[in-house]
Amino acid sequence: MNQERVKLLFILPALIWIFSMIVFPLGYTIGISFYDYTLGSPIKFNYGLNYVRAIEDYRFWNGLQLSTIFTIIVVTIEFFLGLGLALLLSGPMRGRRALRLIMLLALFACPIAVGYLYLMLFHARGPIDMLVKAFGLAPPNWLGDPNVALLTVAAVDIWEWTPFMFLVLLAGLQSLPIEPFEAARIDAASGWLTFRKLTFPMLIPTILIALTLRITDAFKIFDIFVGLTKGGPGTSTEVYSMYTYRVALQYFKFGYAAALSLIFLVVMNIAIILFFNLRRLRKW
Amino acid sequence: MVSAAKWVRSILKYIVLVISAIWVLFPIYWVVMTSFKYPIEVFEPTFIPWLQFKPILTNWIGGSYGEVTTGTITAVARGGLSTEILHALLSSFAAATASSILVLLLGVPCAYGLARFIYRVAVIKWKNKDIHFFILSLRFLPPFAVIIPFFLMLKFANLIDSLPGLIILYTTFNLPLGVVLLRDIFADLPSEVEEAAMLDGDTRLSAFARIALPLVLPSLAATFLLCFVFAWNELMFALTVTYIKARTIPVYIAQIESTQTMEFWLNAVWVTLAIIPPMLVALLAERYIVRGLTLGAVKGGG
Repeated sequence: MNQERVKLLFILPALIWIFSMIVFPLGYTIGISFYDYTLGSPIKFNYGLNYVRAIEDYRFWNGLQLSTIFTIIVVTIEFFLGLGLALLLSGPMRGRRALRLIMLLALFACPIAVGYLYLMLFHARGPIDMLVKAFGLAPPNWLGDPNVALLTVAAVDIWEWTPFMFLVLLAGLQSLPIEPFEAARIDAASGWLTFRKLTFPMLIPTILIALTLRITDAFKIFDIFVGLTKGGPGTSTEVYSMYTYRVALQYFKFGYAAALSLIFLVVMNIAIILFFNLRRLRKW
Repeated sequence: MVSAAKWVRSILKYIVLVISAIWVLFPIYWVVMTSFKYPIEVFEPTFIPWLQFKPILTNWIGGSYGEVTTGTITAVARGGLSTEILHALLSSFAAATASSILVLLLGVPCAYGLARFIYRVAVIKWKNKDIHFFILSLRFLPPFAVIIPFFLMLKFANLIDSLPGLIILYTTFNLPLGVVLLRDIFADLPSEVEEAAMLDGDTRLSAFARIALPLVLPSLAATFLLCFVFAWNELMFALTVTYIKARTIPVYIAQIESTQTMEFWLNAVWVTLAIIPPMLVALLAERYIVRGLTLGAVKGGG
């Protein structure tokens, strides 16, 4: 066999799979987003009416808004908690490996099951209410109050994903070169000065990668919401992916759901391009 | 000589460490313990088995709760380990294993190719880096952007609610991650040994199989484990294409509320079954986790 053929033999199976299972379906989604396609009724081309419909759809804006608020809340808190923990525990100390392993447990717990687990913890007679009452406070209706439910889910997301920030930022901190820090110590620079002038600037690529990944994931979150609120009460926690899923697989409005996913994809693309440039910054 | 400030700092560190460990572990510990409690004790603030409460297996295997007054609960109970849940566990395990194997079969050659050869795609003028970035970008694709075509394709192929359908979807979902991680692994491997072997008469294929592959076996195992965990935990695809016959454990849990009232002691059993396997698998792949989670952008950490 000649060299060229061997080369192709290596990458073709995966590329064919990716093309037929991702590129083709994505093209199909783009296609049907221009059609009035509801399961059970005739398919009609509707000149992009689906996109216009989205702009007039209260639940579309509701979902977009909820996903945005949710993402901002969880990523901010996860970042500061994760960074704080990583900075505090980055020096040589016993027990850090144990904490790393413990953090992995939360990170890899099946998200829908985590949602279900917290359903029990947030129960009116559950341990969280017990704790709140022990401090003499009146616990809110965690999942039943439309004003509180989103924050409750955010708390669960923070439990599951702060470990991600911690592990990634800790790895970033530990891969920093030692010499500048030794020089800083010899110059007797204060801890805050060392952080501001050395640690933070050198950690920026890692921070940006962690943030991009978390933002894109939090923005498309689905499972924890299914476990905890299923979008309720009312539509107070019906985040974007939940609404799109419902339009597609409960109302079977395929055309409209396709348009909704593509609008989302455009928003996501901005983040993706950002990530690419960051990865390049770090590796190439 | 240890200054007082250093002592305070060190104590503070350990306080934070212990608090965060408790924060992470408490919910997991609580649910596992609940699965061994009598139904009426579910919300009792008791934490230590044997000392504070008598652990029982009835929630798991069914049977009688004995002479304990169980309120509205019938004394003879069905266990959480029903045939349905075992079936779901088996589906999850089979789909996650088979798809992760497929990811390796498709991904390893592709990754090796991208790391070792120079490709040029004619019309769009793509090189290795572009192919690589393209595959990487697919990891960001929100799953609901492709569920409609997936649903219709599987329906057309008569693969709805079947394991093969699920395996195809999970392979698709994990393949980009697999290729990206494995490419980095092959790229980190010095190519000189393979080149020397080829000078000694090996073909490219045999140099790949005889020299490169054995060297990356631990990384292959780690990639396999990561793909396994992501497939195990996945919900949206499984919810879309499975209902009863091939439903995975996440789907089983998502369906609970609509089919029965809240039986927390049984829910605790199911949640335990769903969360423990991926945790154990993740512990096995510990060293590769950060790399896997950041698509190869951040390495290591110990």
